[in-house]
Amino acid sequence: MYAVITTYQRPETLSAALASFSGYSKKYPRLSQVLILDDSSSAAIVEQNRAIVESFARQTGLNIRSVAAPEKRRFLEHVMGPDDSKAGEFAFFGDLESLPVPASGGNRNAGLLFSAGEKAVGIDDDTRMVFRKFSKLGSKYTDHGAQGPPVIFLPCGTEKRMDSLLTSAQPDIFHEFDTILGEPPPHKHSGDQVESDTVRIAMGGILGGRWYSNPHAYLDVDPRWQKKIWPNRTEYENAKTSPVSLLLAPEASVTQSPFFVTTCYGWDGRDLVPPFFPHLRSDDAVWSRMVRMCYPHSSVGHLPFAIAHDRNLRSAFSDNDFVKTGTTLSEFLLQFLEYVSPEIRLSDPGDILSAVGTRLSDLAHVSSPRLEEFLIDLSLRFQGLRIRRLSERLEESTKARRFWKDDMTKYLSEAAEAACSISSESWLPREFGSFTVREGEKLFRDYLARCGELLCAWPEIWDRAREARLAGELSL
Amino acid sequence: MNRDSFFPAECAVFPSGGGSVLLRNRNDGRVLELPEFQARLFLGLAGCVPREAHLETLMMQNRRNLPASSLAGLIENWIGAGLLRPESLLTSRETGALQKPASKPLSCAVLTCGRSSALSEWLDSRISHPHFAERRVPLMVFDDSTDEAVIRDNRAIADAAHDRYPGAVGYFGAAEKQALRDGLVEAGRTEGIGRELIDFALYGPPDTGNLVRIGANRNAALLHNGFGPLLFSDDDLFYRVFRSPDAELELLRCSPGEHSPVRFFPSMEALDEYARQDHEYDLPGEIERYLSAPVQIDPSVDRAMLTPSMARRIETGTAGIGAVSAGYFGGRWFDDYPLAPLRRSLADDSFYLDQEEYTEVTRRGLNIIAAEAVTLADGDFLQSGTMALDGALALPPFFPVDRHEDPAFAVLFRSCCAGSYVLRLPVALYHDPQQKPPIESGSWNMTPSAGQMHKLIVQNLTRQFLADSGEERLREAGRRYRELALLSNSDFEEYLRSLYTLYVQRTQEFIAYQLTLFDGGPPWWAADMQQIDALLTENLEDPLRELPEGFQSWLGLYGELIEAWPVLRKSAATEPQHANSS
Repeated sequence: MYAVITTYQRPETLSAALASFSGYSKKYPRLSQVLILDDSSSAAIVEQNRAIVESFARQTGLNIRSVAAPEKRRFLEHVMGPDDSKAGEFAFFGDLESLPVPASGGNRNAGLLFSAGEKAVGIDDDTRMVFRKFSKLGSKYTDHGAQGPPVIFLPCGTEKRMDSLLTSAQPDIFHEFDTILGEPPPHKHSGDQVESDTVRIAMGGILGGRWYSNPHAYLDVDPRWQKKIWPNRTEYENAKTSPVSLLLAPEASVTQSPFFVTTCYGWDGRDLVPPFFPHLRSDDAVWSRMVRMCYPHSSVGHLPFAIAHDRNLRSAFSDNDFVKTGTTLSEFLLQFLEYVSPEIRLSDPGDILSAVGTRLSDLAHVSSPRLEEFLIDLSLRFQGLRIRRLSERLEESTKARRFWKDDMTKYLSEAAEAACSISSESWLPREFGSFTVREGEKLFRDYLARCGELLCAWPEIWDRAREARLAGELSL
Repeated sequence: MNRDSFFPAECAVFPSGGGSVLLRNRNDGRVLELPEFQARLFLGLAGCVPREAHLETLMMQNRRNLPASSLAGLIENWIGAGLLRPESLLTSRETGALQKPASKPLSCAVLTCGRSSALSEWLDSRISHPHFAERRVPLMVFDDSTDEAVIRDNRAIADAAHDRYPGAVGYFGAAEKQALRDGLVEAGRTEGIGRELIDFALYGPPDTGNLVRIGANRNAALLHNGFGPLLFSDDDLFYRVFRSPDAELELLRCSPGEHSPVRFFPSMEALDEYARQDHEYDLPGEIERYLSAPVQIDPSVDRAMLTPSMARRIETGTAGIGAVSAGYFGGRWFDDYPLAPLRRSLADDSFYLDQEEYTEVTRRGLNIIAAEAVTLADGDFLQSGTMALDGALALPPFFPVDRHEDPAFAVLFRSCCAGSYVLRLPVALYHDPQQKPPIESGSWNMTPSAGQMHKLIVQNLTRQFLADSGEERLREAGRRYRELALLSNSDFEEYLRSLYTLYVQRTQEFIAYQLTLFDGGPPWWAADMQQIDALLTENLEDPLRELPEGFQSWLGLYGELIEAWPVLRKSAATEPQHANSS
């Protein structure tokens, strides 16, 4: 099994992560290789990170290597050839000149390709190998079918409040991921059971620093938990902005819901795994949806532990964050996948990715009025579904906190108002909001076209990477 | 209330909370949040009609028993919000209902295969008729015959007709098709279009057994014709124009697009007694009058059934007439399919009540099918017996093999050429009843053929498009066909079964509806309906049994052809004309 750690421009954080990781992995020796995927833009920091990695390799004896831009370029040249690596370049490095949105999708793609053919675990450099689990919940294995993600999300506001719900855990996460990935779920749930084959991707929970960028996420909190985490209005108000949050599955479980967070996750790379889209915040949900498109009968696994996530690297939400409206690029892409999914009947995962990619490229070339109409439709659908889901939650929430209900009511009214105000000036995904509509549209089209090309090229890139890696042709 | 008329905007509906929905008005781009029940009421409205008529519709749909004053209040709110739009938006552009730009002159293509006598009569009925002769409408014979003697006869018939006709009469048979094919193969080399694809377009796949290749012949006609208007005619439709007694020849009526009314008759005498021949009706003239015209609405147009989507197209100046068709008078236009029993609720009921007459109706299938007025339809019912197409549009190719190529074409045409509507003329041409043998009751063949299955497929594949232009939509459609060819055998079969099962369910629901409507009688008709129902159920066990072995790969080739078709049309238009014509 491989492990990958993604890092970007923060040697101290990486150093702390490696300190924690190397101790842990010596205790649970299962890894054949550890790759440090370095996306740092500064050459000096890349060198600094490389030195840190080499130092840890010497000290611990772990097979640990740094994969930064030079290694990625050599890799692409080797597997694709110097003239045929355009899509690979985009996969690894994106195109920051076109769309200056930093995100880790490109770096994660390096992890997918450098470990192609293996199961692998990925963690972020701001995690520490310290784990907690719910203190009072069971440990059975449940299949949640299509009902939704079986994880509990709690923006607790303070570590004290979070700690009151948890107890320490000492899972061998490599074993846990290795066991769940590539296997069918051992238990069947009779309710809304959907036929499952194997678990292709799985995730652990997160505790500490928040991983999400939507400040209204607190509205999603299950009312049954609200009294526990928000005993009073003061704690509630703090929790709305505080970065201290918890995401945790009470028990090992599988689901057909594509909900996914890539802070601590695993994938079965023995078969084709789709790429992440570069420059995409919340790329993990889109990635997970593509995995489910490629393997429609597969399940997403959830492991019942949460990994510590550095809260000091996250800031509290500001007032400004709460007034942002519109659909994000990842929300748009999710809706796009929902839109095209029913008409793609192919069964080969590579064919499916190509089919999605061709459609993205097609969309990049439709007329301006059509693009606007299409995006507004998808945006309204997304906003409308969210409003409906939250409205239903509010209606069912007889035991919810009054202050939460008031906020929810206000939010729903504002969200509906915002949806109704969508116009020719505001139809592009939020990431393009800082450009004029014309510039933004051009960048958005370019981005769609590049993502389309990436999906079409990915099956071949993947195959070549897998063959080269298994043949031992790749040296870092 | 005053008599001003209003039409509903075309709206897209999205979910929202608290029993509401988001309604996006596609005519003006505004988004409104409406209570779900109000949205449902609004979406039931159609037509450009006065407030009272809309109110009447609301009263019929009023499941909440709201008082009329509340419903009237809703109408006023919707007018204020731009959901109900004033008639002036449809009429303010130009005067006149239909103003047509200058276009190339109409050509006429007759499709024939192996029946010289029909071809001869077809030509005779036109070359001597002033409607064709005075206009010198070029008449092109597209001959798919394979028997050398028939080919010689047909060529001679065309030559003889040419001598008697002031316009051009051309013959396009195997040799001409070969020349066109060779030219396209040559041109295709630089475009990356293979020989196999061009052969597929012009001849169909090589191993089709007994299946007809009328679609391939139509493709040859489309390619030969280039980008001008083209009138397709079957060789057994002679130029004698008939109409129902109550047909409105000058009234232009908007319609949601349901089939034209059909009336079945036990004998030609009964049919002659009902319908009247119209010697004055100038079919090519009417086609030239309407085809390619932009759609505009003046007060003389019957707008009671105007659909919101068509109204939006008219309001935005993007509606045009892409096809004009006429109906059939006489022999049946369908195969050994029990259309007469199945269509009772849409036909004249009188002949169903007498057993002997009913038997003859179902056996012979004699009928008149024609619109009741000049009908601008927002649907895809388009019969190809007499069908004129605007060649300037991004027309798709026909599926080259088996029958039902025309309804499948119509679906693809309407979905790709968005904004191009079908106009049905309220007349029918004489359809030689000698060409179709009677069908004995109970000997119906309801097993889905390749053509019928293809019709279900195209309906399924064209439900949504990313693009709005015709050529881009053709590309999208082509790709979907190619993807079908990539499915594993079992996935493909499952896909076809699911389509067919859905079709059977809908047909059986329609059967049940009619049995209820007519109280299960008379018994002879009810027995037929029960037999049809049983045949459909039986088919569900193995609906794929009559599909040819290569069917899936044909779909893949057809997908490639659809994508390459615009290039092939351009190449063909620059090729020298291969028909033997003067």
